[in-house]
Amino acid sequence: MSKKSRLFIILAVLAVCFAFLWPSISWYVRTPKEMQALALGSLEKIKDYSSAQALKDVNALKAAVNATPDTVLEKDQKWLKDAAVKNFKLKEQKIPSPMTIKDAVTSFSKEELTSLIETRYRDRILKAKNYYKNSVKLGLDLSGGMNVIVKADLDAVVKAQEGSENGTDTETLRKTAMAQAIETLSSRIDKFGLSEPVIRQQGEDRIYIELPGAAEADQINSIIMGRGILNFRLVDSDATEAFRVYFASHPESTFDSQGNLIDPSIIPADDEVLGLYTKDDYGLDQRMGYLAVKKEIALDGKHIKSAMVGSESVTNKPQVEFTLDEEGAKIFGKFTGDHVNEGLAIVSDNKIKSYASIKTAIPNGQVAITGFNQEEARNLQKVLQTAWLDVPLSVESQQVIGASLGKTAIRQGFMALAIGLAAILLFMLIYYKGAGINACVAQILNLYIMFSILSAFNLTITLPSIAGMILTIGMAVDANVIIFERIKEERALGKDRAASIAAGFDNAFWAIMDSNITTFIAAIFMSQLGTGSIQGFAVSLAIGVISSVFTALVVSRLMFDFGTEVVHKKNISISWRVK
Amino acid sequence: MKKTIKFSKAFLGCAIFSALLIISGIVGLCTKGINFGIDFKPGLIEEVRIAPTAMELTYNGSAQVTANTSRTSFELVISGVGADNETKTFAYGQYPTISKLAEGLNGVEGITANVLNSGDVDSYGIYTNNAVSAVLSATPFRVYVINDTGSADVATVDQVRNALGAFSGVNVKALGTDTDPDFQIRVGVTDSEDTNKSLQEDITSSLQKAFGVDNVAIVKTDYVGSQFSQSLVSKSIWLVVATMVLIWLYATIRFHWDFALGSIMALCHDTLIMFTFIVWTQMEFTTTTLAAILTIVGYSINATVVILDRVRENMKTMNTKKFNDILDKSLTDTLSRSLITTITTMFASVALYIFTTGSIKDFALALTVGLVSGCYSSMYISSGFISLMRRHWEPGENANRVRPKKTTAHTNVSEIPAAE
Repeated sequence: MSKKSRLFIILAVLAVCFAFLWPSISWYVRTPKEMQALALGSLEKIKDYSSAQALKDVNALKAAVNATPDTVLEKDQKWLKDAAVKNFKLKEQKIPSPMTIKDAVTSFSKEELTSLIETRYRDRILKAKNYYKNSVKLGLDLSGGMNVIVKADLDAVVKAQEGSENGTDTETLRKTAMAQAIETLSSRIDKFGLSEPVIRQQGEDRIYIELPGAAEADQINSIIMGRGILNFRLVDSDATEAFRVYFASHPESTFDSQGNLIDPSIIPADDEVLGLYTKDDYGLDQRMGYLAVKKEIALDGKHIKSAMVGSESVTNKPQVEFTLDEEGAKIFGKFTGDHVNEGLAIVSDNKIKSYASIKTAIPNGQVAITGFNQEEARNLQKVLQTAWLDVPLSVESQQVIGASLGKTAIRQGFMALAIGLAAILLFMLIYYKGAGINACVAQILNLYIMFSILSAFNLTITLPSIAGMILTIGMAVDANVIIFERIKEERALGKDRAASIAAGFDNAFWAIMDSNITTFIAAIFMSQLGTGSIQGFAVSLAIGVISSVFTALVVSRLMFDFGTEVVHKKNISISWRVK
Repeated sequence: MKKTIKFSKAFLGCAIFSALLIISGIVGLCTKGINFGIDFKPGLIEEVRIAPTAMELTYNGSAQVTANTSRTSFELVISGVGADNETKTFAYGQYPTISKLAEGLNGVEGITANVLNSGDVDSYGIYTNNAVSAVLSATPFRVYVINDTGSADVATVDQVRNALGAFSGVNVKALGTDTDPDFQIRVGVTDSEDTNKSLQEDITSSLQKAFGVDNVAIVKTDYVGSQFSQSLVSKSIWLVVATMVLIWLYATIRFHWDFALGSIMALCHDTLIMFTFIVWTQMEFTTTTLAAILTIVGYSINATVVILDRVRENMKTMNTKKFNDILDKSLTDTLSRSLITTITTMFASVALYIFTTGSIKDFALALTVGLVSGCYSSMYISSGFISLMRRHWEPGENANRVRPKKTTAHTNVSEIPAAE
């Protein structure tokens, strides 16, 4: 291959690597902490924040229009100017110049302006979130936080369902139970608005949960051990109305960050405000609004015996039918009789999943809820089934690492990385003189490529993987050493610079390939079968093996050839003895 | 021409030496056993610090305020609805005592910092309970600081041990300095039932009873249930064996079966030497230690393959009657490479050993031992084995035995790609 094309390949690799690294750099270096905190919040929180912020900004702009209508828009309000220009063009009006704040603001309706500003806020946060998603993640040992492995006792589920009228086979039942356990955990954890929790199934019956940065050890146990809490409650429509009025005028100061009311006196003491949720297109909970419901539970979910999706006999529209046990039927009959024409909320884990008005008293325990499409009906059926499909969960392993401990680990890891690398490079420079520079460049590139590949696959960096990197550098030098030693030998045989370099590389090729392939086999194996720390370590080892072969065979070769053919060097500075 | 070193003379001695070492390891294994870490032995490890609460923080606004501590500063990250988004940093240099720091924190809207005990304590060395959420709310968030003025206040290992006397098989170790101790508490669980939550709660409440509710901060907890560690043990053994089999297969394809077997011998040797080291030092055996062993497997095969590659090459070019001559020549040829690579890798592992703590430190130590063993075994053990297998070797049969290799022939000058 010609030097030019080799140089081109190297530059292309470096450029691609930089593109991979960019999100990580943006997130860890260029995003301020408060922005990180926002971006790591749940989508619901981001939405709440953007709309509250937008409302505030709109009011500020309106106030500015009233106070100083003739102020010309400043440079940092260019976004407003651009949007206003678009408005004028749409209306085919003359664009005022210079544009004053009044011109700009009055070109929008209030809703338009609010949504413009809200989108601006949201886009900014989502952009940061995107950087996070595409960047290298810090493992728990570096970021602090906690992980839990939960085992779902599926056998108990199968046993409990034996002989019941739900005629599903065991395999489906296990799968349904597992999916439900994961969903329940996800929605409960989600409610904390924790930063990017990881929840995934591991094997057949285990769930892995990771909460980076946050150590909610006091809460996580109740999250996991708590049963699916499903119940029926009465909606307090007066209090709901009172709350709506209050919330409209205090959008920013109604709730604290945990979702509790800051001023509990706005609703009666025996009520609480809960969000009403539906599933959005992605199957995620989306809050539609708030309802005030009675704290008192009208009917506990444990009375539900089965739930299914059926259809109304007359209109053929989908409906959710569920059957109550004897005691439940009695309670529900009395409750519905007392509250005809009032609202009934189905509450699961403190989220209102559905709400319906009571048409008549239902004394026989056969309940049907209507008024939704097929999809919504199925979602509600899933919610109801959590009541009777109880999946016992137990904690198999739990790890809590303090954030400050993580910071110490990062410092130690990078210190070791820097000192280890420096020692290796210094040694190479002293031992191999000029060729040592070659090795140094190769190793620094190696580290760069390793980081960017970790970033490209959004892999997690842990302390063991930093250890893996340091060791990989130590071992990657091996390829350089094999080549350099070989060149020295060829040189000692009396060959000239070009010939000994070519022979050195050619003869070393298979030694390097064989040794690295075997190491690669070991690394891949570890990364597939290992858990946690081993995995992180193995992945960086495997990546390091590939990049070290590239830097040793391509980059370092090009540097030698450049010295021979462009600088017209005759000697090789590779040792203190051989010239 | 370099003088060929007679490595082959030492083959037998080295084999005996290694065998003795490994036997001593087996003896150690029988008498002392392996000090299994939490990954392999079900139980709970908790690291706690015992010191008075220096300050309590509460927050009553609508934003999300997270408290962070670092070595040099205390940080509040404020985000969300109803506040300006910002990070407020309180450098200890600027706020040298707890009361000064509290004053600064009180200046933030919605935050109340309540100083308990003496406010004159140094802000450096401040820490928090890691088992509770760092998001501030109406529930007080406690900030602790070691009171290093009077060592009488500092809890001792014996006090902690006494406080936990009710638990069977509890093991308490002091980490850190005398004036600023961390206590590592380890309790094993035997039955398969889930006791995580209750165990943790019991330990915390016992400690709180002994040292005061406000004075116990949890730094780190680690819990492994018995079923989980069971599956890990079988998985680990499988992992090591399968890795070796795969490497052996590759080496058989690339070289010859006795070469491959020789390199596997070296791998087993290194694994056993590391076990011997782990047994005799009673180092904690965790998954990280397992990673060290697997790394050495990868490293040692690397070293062996480079030597075998040279042996294969020299078999083509050398004119000799004895296979040991070929081995000696190859080992001499690759000696400087073997040493330099070991040295550079050791730079890395020693740097890890010096700068890290905990399981990575053990990992680095085990690795350093493995590196020495790997270098030694690739030179003496695998070659020794091959020498034994080929003691009746005759020149000329090598051509059939060893697959020809593209690059073994000396490259001519004319083969170099022409310059542009």
